[in-house]
Amino acid sequence: MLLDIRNLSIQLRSETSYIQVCKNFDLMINDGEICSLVGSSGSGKSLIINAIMGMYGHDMKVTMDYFKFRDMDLTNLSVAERRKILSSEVAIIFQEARASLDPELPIGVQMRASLGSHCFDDKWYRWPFWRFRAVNNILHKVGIKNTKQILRALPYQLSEVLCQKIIIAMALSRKPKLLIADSPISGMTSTSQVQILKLFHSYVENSKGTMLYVTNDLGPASNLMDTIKMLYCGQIVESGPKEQVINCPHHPFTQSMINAIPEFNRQVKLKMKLDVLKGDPPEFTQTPIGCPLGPRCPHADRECNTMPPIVKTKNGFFRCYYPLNMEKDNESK
Amino acid sequence: MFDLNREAREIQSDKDIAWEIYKKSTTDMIGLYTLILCICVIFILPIWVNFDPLTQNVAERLLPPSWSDRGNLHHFLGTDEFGRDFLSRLLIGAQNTTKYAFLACFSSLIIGTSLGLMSAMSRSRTRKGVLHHIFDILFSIPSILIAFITIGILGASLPHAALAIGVSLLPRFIHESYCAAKKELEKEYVRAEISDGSSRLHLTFTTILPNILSTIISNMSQGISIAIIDIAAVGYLGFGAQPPTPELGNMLASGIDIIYVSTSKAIIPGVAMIVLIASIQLVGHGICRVLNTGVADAA
Amino acid sequence: MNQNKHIPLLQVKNLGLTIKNRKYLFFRKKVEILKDINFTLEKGQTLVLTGDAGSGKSSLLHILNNPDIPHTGEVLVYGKPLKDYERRDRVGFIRLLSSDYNNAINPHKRVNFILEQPLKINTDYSTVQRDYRIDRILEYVGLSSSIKYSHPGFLTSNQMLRLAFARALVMEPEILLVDSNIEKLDAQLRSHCLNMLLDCQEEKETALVICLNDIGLIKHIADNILVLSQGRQEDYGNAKFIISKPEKEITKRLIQDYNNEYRIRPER
Repeated sequence: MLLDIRNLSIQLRSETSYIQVCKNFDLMINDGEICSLVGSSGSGKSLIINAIMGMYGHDMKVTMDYFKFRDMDLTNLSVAERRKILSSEVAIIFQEARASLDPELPIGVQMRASLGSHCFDDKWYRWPFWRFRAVNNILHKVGIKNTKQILRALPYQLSEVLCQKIIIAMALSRKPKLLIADSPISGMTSTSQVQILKLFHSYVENSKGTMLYVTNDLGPASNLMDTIKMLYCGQIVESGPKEQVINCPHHPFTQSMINAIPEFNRQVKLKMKLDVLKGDPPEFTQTPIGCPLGPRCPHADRECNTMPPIVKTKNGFFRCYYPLNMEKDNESK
Repeated sequence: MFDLNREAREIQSDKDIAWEIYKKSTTDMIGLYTLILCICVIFILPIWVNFDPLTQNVAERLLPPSWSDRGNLHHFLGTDEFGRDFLSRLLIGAQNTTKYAFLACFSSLIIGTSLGLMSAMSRSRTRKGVLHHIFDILFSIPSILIAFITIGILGASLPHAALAIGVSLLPRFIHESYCAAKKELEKEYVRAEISDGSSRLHLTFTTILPNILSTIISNMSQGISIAIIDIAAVGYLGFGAQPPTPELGNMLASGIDIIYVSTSKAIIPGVAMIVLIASIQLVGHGICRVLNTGVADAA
Repeated sequence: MNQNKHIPLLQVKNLGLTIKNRKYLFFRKKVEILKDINFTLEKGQTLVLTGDAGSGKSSLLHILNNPDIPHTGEVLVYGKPLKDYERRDRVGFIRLLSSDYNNAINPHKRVNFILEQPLKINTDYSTVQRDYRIDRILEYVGLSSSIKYSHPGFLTSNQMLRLAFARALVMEPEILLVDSNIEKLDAQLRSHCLNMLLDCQEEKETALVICLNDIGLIKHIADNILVLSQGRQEDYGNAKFIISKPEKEITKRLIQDYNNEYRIRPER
């Protein structure tokens, strides 16, 4: 197992007290697996990535029962030591592409700086200036054609989608063991999306890497995933292999995320309204007691005032008192 | 049932919100109280108490401060080498220095910011370039040198030194306000307001000026500090206020001459300058922090 | 037979936009951002702009929003060029909705100031009438009217999005331009947003011009579709026909790539 985290809990420091952001979060990723974490905006996905990587200061309090990365037990290390161990093996693609690039340096300089010496896998006589050649190859792989102009440019001159492709290229070029991607393909056209997803697929298959894909939309990339975990208000409400979660969702939140995906393969009525849960996701200071989806859930009842227990299904689990699609599940058993 | 009283009280005016956010940092509060104390003591106290920096009393020369053995409570901080009361010299000297430093910095700020804003908001490229770079040549000449040139032309005195320092601060204000205004103009909400139809003048005063206020204030606190130090430096070299007018700079100079005889006379003006500048910086820092709350950083 | 010459709501003919970019120290290169764009829009219709980044979608919306930007070609509203309208009437017609709410709302001013600005500058309402209008529009988008006194920096992202909606709808425009950041929102918020836009269209017959990349969504809401590539208009026509029988290469490729192997296929 590549990454094993048990019972992660995150608290943010506010003026007077600590606000509980995330509770009882478990994450287990096997080698060569693509695990997906799906949640609406504001559900704490980026905070979880920061907590795993140790990128926080005194404003966040993170506790976990167990943290294992590649047979190394990192539970009792300090944050700085954990950061040091993880930074050489994990690459992160952040959500804000332009903010992840240094605004003062040209792109070429930044890309060459991100190539470590372990990325060199060629004949020995090609070693001089290998970074210059490697950078060109990487940009071609993500589908950027006029590399010469772009390598000389500064980030503010490039469009957002181009910056996204560049940081994906930078992350993949380091050949990491674990790749964490936070909405990498938002805002791209379908052509670019397919290109990037093919890259991720080949990274997992050929270079034997592992991926944690964090997103807020189930649509574009879900067939690539192996496991899907649905995150709502900092708690995992449903988890399981892709076929099970998508074809037979149990939790109402999963159902609503699937309903939000636009239909393409069937004839749809023009100007049809899409199905949404009413209301807004709650803020962390006002999380409902018990099941976090309580006030918005169409099937909620009085029992939902207490935290639902974990109900295990064939390869995953969910937390709901009134789950959907139980008959389908029984049939498949 | 609703509670109108409580709800109405919860809607705080801008001033209240600002004060609450400012109060949170202890260091900024210390700075604020120190600054208020300094200003009261330097500017308001001399109105009632007769401080007398000029009377010489040769019999009581070079007395140490009153807390040491030979000290006299009459002269709280001692006397200098001519027998003048040191406390009065310190307060009136600080008054002189600070008065002219504030004057130089504020006038330079007003002129510089208006030039910078005019050049950022103007549409024609030539006018923008001219207004922006017109005083850039002053960047290349150090402020003390400008002071010397002015004093060489006009004669050595405190107002002339202040004029020189003010002139040397000008290009920095122009440049900073131009950059901040340019950055604001690229934001989406400014474009939305322009397409809504506000004229450029209305836009400047309603949107751009309040949003760049934090940059202006941080520059202003830096500018005042630089002005105080430079005026004191010019005075130290003897080109500012001429004796017997007290001024922090020339008090430092005469103090250094007698440092082995009476150390307090050299240290006390320096400490006064440090306290003034530190409190101004802390207050400026606090105000910038208040103005920037609730504004998400770009990166 | 009565020749009823129907004047469309919005008509764009041969729109072009070039800007000069500084390439070397003294050399300025002309970059053609848009070239030869033609389309028509009727009341209550939705036009969707598609194309990858750099194809000029945002520039097209900015020209429609602010015709003072120097461009070639004509933009006609009810037969009259948009430039000839008074600014007050123009702002009442066309509004731009930015869903990039982080940057599009002034964080230093209170909400009621932000909503009052367009009314104050462009209409003749008195203060009380403006207040009333602000209250009603906040009710329409689903915000409580006590939010009028907060600063945008302290609102959640949902509330900021609704505020952006309110700012666009406060003038009751006939054409609403929506820029492409609507897709970066998460799935629930995006559906919510589109539902609000469709509501608006149903009740007030607002015409919409939206930038979208997701063909599934386009199928749900578009009447007409305009495909842009590198500033040139590649395809334009009725969305249903084009998506079911694409003729141009670029549209075929877009639809093919949309149906890729990685897209979710739930059995419903």
